[in-house]
Amino acid sequence: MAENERKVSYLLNLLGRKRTAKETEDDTPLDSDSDYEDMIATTPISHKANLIESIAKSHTSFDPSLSSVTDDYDSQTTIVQDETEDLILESFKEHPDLAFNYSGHKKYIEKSLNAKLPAGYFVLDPNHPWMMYWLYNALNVITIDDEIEARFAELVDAKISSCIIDNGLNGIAGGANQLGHVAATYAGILALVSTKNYEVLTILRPNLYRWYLSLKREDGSFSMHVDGESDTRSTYCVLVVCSLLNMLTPEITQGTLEWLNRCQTYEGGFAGTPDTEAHGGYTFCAVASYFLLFADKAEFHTSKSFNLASLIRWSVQRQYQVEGGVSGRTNKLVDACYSFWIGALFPLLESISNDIELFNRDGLRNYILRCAQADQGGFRDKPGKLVDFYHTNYTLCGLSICEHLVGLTDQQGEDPLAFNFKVRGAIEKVHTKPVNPVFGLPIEVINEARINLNVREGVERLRI
Amino acid sequence: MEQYSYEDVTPVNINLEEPQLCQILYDDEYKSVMGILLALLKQNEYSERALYITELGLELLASHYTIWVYRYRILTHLKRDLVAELDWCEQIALENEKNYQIWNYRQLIINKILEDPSNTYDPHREGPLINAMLEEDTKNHHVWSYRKWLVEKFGLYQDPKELEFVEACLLLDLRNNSAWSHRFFLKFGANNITEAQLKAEIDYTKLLIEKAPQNPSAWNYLLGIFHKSSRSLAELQPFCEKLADYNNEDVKSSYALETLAKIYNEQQKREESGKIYDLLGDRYDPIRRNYWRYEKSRIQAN
Repeated sequence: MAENERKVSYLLNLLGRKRTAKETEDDTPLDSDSDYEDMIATTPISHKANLIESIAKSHTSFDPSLSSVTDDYDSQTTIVQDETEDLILESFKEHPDLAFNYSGHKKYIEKSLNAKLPAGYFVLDPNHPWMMYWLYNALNVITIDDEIEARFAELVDAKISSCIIDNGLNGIAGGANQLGHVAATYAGILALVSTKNYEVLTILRPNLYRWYLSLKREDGSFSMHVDGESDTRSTYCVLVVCSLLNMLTPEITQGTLEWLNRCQTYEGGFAGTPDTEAHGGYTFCAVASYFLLFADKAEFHTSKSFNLASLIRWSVQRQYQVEGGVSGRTNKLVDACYSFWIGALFPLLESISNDIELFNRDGLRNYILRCAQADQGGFRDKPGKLVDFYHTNYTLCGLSICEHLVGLTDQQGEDPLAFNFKVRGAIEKVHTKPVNPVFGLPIEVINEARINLNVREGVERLRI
Repeated sequence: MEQYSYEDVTPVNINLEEPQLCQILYDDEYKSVMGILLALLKQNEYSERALYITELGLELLASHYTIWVYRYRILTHLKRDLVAELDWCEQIALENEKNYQIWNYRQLIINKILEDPSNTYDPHREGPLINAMLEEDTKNHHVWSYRKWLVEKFGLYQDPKELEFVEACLLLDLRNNSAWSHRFFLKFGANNITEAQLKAEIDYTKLLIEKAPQNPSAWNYLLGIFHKSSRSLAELQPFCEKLADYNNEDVKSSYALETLAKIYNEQQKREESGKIYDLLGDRYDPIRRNYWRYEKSRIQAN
């Protein structure tokens, strides 16, 4: 903390500003919206060769000891990359097998839901609906033979209700009495879909529709809130809710496709806004959005929406040889949350590329189970980091992508493609339910919601 | 909070009821500041005391979007000096490296200043802040995105300071992909580039690839230029052959090898192209074996 204070003072001084630096809380338990790529703990001199020697080569089609091409240019990027590889190899060594700590994860998630969270968690105060989605969904994804305690669903619903503003006319907020926010609304709706609260969802439907239209921008994207930013994330969040509630009208989608197309960068991935850097989270949002806008996969090839070849190339580049896991940007470090943001791109891309497997699922599975899985339950960015709700959910969704092969059904109709995912196969022993790669919820949850929320006649009335 | 009286304000609920999942045990300070702040927001109060409490709130939690929106509304109602506001929030930015609300807020304020046609804003005023932040965290996505917004808003594509900054970043770390991305925007974002400029940019990138042949940032940039300008990859053949002499098992760059496969394919040397994809999958880039097989299958399908 003292160091942070010094740094701020130094920078303020540099800028010639007169204000004094204030001390701020920086030992927060988790930071749900960062890059998770702060400097990791420094390890002693690299002993990669020794480590590689000592790692059993038993795990399926992934082998971290295979050589790949490197160069000898050194920089900050290569230093932290080397340190991370050492850390990962240590973890592979310490965790030789692919065990899944079901009871530990269940306990971690249930404890997180039930516990009174220490004051430091106030940083999550604008994220109450997110906490509900992350934790309830994480529990749902790993609950295969068990049942989820019914009281959790009731309390999830109560929490989301406390965040609904004016019956949805001003969206769902990050917490009670805050302002409506498109991402908080997305998380809240996913939580209500998970608990199957179709009654509340039906009430919210026309009100959220009006709110979304008020946030629509001329360029085809949506603002996060009044005076808020717009990016592929906010746009994806609106499209998800509108399709789940069956109100994806032409008024909502007008110009959106064209705007998304502009967000693909020269690297092949997508950025949050046109001409910024390609990024895993924003790429997921953009690609998943196409599956919400298109009802026929031929549209990917006919509409000249984006460059599919460069998108696939950028996506596979995210996986690293030693780690098996994936990164969010070129020349950045592996992080388990991208197991979903990048991982989910593959079933999407494979479904429009003749179902040919495009990435190494075993590699990612090894990273998830042997590096991101914490011994005491829960998942983390990488060894040495603390577990948190966000990483636990997205890593489990990523694990589901590795364990199950999902693809599109042959049905072609008016429904967005996103609703047509089915299971094509799975590895022998699975620990997760198959997850719909567009929504980040179990396929069964989406299918049931689709039946119960498919209220066609309402759409006409919505257009008023 | 001594400066102002809030005695008449009844604090609103901030997720305190029990039982509640993920109940946060807020400390008293946060509870009291947010309870009052959200109560004032609810009654649409735009006052000095409301402004003050947003400052307290943001000092506690700069990622709280509601506070930023409320503060913006108060400022515009009170017709406060917006340039002074930009100075004020610099400190919040410096203290919260990963915060992104602040950058949207600066955009809002600058747009508001420029709404009045008699106003001007010198974008170079932003330089010290964003440079300092990018020196601290050279790949900070939000700051680079803001930098891109400034360039676009004020037409700074040709501003020497922009290119100088990018080049300084690359000099420090050729693997800084954010710097490459910004460079691409400066060079190709607005104007049509001349053939001579294009050629110079290709040479520049090749030079930096030679310093770090296995650097995906530089390769993506180079291939991006070729795609953007619809140029044939064929002219890269000698360059790639030098960096990927696979017949003599001297491959310094898997990207050069990959590019050779594409070039050979363009030249209808399908067998050679397929051989390279096998080499990539088996030997030089095994983690992507599935992808190289897929690429190989695409040759045969052509």
